[in-house]
Amino acid sequence: MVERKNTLTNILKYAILIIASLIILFPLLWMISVSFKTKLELFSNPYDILPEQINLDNYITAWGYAPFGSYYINTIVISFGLLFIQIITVTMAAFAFARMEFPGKNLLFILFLTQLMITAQSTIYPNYMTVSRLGLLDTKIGVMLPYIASAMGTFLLRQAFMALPLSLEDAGKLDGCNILQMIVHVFIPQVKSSLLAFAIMSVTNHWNEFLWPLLVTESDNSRPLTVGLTIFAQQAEGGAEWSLLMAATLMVSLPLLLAFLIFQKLFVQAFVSSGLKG
Amino acid sequence: MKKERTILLVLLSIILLASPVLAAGQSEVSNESEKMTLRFFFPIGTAGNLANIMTNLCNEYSEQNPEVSIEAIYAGDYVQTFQRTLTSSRAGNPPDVAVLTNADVWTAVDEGIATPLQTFIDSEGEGFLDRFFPAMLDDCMVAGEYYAIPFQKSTHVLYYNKDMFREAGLDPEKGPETWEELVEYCQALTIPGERYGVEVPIDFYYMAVFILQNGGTINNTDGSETYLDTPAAIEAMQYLKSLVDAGYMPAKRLYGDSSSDFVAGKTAMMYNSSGSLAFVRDSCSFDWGVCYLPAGKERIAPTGGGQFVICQGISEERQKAAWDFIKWMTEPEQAAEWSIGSGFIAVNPKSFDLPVMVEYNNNLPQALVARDQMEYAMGEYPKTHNCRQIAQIMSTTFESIMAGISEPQAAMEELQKSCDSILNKYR
Repeated sequence: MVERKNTLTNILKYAILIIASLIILFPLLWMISVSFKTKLELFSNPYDILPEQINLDNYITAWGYAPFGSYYINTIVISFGLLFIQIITVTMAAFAFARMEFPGKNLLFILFLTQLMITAQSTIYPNYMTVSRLGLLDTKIGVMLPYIASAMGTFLLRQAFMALPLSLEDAGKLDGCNILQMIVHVFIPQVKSSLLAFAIMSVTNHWNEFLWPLLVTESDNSRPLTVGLTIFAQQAEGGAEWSLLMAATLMVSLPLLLAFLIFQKLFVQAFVSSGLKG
Repeated sequence: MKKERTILLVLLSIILLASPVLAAGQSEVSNESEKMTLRFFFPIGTAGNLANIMTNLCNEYSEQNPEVSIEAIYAGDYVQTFQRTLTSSRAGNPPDVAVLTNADVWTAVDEGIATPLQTFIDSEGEGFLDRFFPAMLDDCMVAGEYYAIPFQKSTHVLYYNKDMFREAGLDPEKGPETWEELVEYCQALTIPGERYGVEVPIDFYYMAVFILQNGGTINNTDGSETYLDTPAAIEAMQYLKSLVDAGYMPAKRLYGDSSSDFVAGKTAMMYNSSGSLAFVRDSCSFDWGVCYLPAGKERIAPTGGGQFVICQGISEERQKAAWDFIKWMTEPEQAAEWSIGSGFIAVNPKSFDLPVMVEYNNNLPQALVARDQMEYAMGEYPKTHNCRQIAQIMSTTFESIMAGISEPQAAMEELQKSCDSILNKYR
């Protein structure tokens, strides 16, 4: 009896999970399917998931609309370069807030956190002025500059550092570590999952960012993928080019999708142990 | 310890190697001393390989004019292009030329970032403006003065499904000519639950179109007062609401939704931009046609799209060069090239005599209907100060009337009041 009840709840659980994952997967599947369809096919059988034939024309056309090759490089340099800088700034700031004593520490920390409540859009104009005065318009550094300090990352790592036992610090001191060595050798190895969680958020955010890079960049040497993608999405007067748009969207999001599939286990672990919701 | 040192070394070398990559783009400014480089912000408004076509056009100009080169910079949609133009102008780094939509031309003038063009027009001698369709010039004026030159213009036509017309016993070569006929056609073509008779994009643009067709006025020439609570305006809204109530028309659609519905056979007719002609041709498997928009008390065809603006805050020499570039872009050849690539109507009527354009129109004869309708065309409304905000509340009011949330009369009176309070400071 008990066993039967268990199988029943199991079936129910799996049914719910399957339905939920289908709901999440459907847009992705639809995107992939549409990207292989011709316009004519799309509107005559919009609900068929399997296209009549694999037709790569959309990808070829989409690729020719903008220099996507250099946009890829730019996006990678911007999002990973930024992550690299952020990890440095964020760990140092978090360490100071978690483990050092200085006057006004708490007030400063609260001020720091208010950054979380200010939407990026509202700071676009002052940021533009700053970047413009520094002569960094139309450069990758200009795109990264407003984000090199991250309140979210600092907060996340501070919490992680605070959770570490004091004895760890003492052990490091006994071994003769200076502060920098302490951070690098003692603290960072303990908070890998928090760092990874932050890395995922930061890279996806900046990979997908559009308005700010659009504003500060002009040449193909510094423009990211998202700017190229919008060429397909802004055709209010021209009718919706769904197949092209979907092909381009897949091209732009594929690297992140693949990365997630490959490192899935690692990522899930990171989010679970850092207590973050995606 | 050794391991860490190597890691540090690797990191350091990454930074060093990356810095020239990161700083790329800075060094390119240096060699412009002998050559003037004009920065040109353009939006994308229709489908197609537009960024490349624009770059090619600009390169062609630079080749013909060795002392000037044009840098074509894609700047997003119309809103983002304006935002960009405004932000960079404020930061002292204005583009030389930008393509803006009518609403933003007004704001650009209010913000003092657009150059008045009358002196340039005068310098070309009598009749320079005759090169354009007259209706397209409507959108180039702010309170009666020229601040813009037509570039990518569209008009709106009625698309209809000829197969459905035949099935319903209607003449497939003739669309509805008046508002009354539109109702009759809808009656014949609507199949409840399956397809609509007609779709009208529900936004400020069409609110203005129907009011104008009903003999109303949207605003005064100074752009400081609107007339949205007049009987003509309220009646126009009531007319559209009656189509929704009868089930002939959906309460909420926008341009892209309508063209998708049309090619999928979910509506027999749609009001839409001439910019969708190529999309409809390539996407639908049935016989289709276009005709003039049905006339109300008046036959009026609206236009839309973008126009060239020359920015303030650049040297007189650069402004002159910018004017020359604009002039070149609106010559018959270039106007034709852009029209064929983008689906906008060529702004220069002479373009239509060129062999490339004749061939294009043979493949897309519906485009000629759009051209011929220019005879009844007028510009895009509202034309007021603070135009985006006025347009925004017009759209929300329109939506709420069609959705049955508010009554036409009360909603339009409310709308007029809101417009009054926004425009009060310009009176």
